[in-house]
Amino acid sequence: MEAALWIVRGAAVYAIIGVFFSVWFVTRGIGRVDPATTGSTWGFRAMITPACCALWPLAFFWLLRGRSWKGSES
Amino acid sequence: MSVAYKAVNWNRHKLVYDALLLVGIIFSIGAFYTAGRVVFSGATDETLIMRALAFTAFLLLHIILCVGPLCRMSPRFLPLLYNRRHMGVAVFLVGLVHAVFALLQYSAGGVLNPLVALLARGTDITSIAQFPFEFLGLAAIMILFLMAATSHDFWLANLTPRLWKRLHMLVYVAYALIVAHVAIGFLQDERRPVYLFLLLAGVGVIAGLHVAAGFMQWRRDARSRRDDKSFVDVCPVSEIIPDRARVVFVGEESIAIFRHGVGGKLFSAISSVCAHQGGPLGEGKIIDGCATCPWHGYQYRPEDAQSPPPYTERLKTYDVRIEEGIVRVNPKPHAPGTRVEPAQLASLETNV
Repeated sequence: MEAALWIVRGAAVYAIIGVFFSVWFVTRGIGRVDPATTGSTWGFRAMITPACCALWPLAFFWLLRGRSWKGSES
Repeated sequence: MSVAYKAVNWNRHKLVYDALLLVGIIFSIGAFYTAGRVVFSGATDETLIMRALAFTAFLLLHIILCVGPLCRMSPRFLPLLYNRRHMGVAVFLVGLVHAVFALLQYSAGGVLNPLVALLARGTDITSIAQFPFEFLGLAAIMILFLMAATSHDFWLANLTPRLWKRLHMLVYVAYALIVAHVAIGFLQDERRPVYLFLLLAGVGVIAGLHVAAGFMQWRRDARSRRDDKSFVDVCPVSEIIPDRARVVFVGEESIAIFRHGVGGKLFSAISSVCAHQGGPLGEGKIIDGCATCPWHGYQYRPEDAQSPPPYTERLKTYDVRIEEGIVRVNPKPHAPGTRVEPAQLASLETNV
């Protein structure tokens, strides 16, 4: 019971941080990790928001790095 | 391709596909609910709706998992493959509504948060009857969420195609979790053999199709390995229809030999693996002078395997020649985007 409570609380905190981060990321930060997003539509930004919420530590890492992994395979 | 992103690159095919998908989902839920009132006579409306949603999501997941091997076995199924990601998102959304229904029906109404109530439920993993099958469904819905949320090309490009593909291969883990979820959950309540038979039939169809498609691929690869030389025979020119391609597998190379140009007199060999999502380029056709991937319409010039400006995708090219009416290709690749002069069909060899 106590463990279940902490799991749900932890998930909620993670999700809340994700929501705030992703709102900033899709409106401002995204251009720093993928220049191809410049001029992209709001529909596109809304569409990638759920994954930004879920993967916000990764998106944050990309921001610190200055770019994503795009093109790193070629 | 590599210009500014859009939410969805709509075209007529996608609109028709999504319309049919929506109609199919509504029909499936309605049909299951109607039939369920007879078959599950003691079930409440909430239970019937919850099961109808689960049935629909599970059915769609089966279709998704069948589409890949079917397309490898026959190009006739390619229209199903195109836009498959929309079907994947639909599976997640229908599955999510099922999960919310189940959570509200079984875990709400008390003093505890429904999620806490679900997680805190007494469980015994050594007993099938007491096994927390809800956790299996929860894990599956989390995987389906991750797949649906990262289905946009932005994530494909930024996660890299290799990682993205690995992430999306988790669909098989999600499928296994759902099969276990159904077997331990639903089949514990409904013990009629027909339900177990249907579940096993679904698993059998998916496993059988994957094995059959893998076997066909293995035979193609073995045939190519046996004939491996500097240039390998592909087929008589007459077997490649103008504006289409023939795919040949040599070693690790998957090569598409496209027949193009006025009268179908030119032959060019490029990689059959689309740079976008690894799609089967060789199963596409020449549109506006470019080899066009059947998955998402990515285009490449046959001579140099480069996407026309402003796009920047490039594929490997190969030397191709025609000798005594036979198309032959050298499987040693040139660097992506290298121009290779097309082999030209002499007028006497022109045939279709």
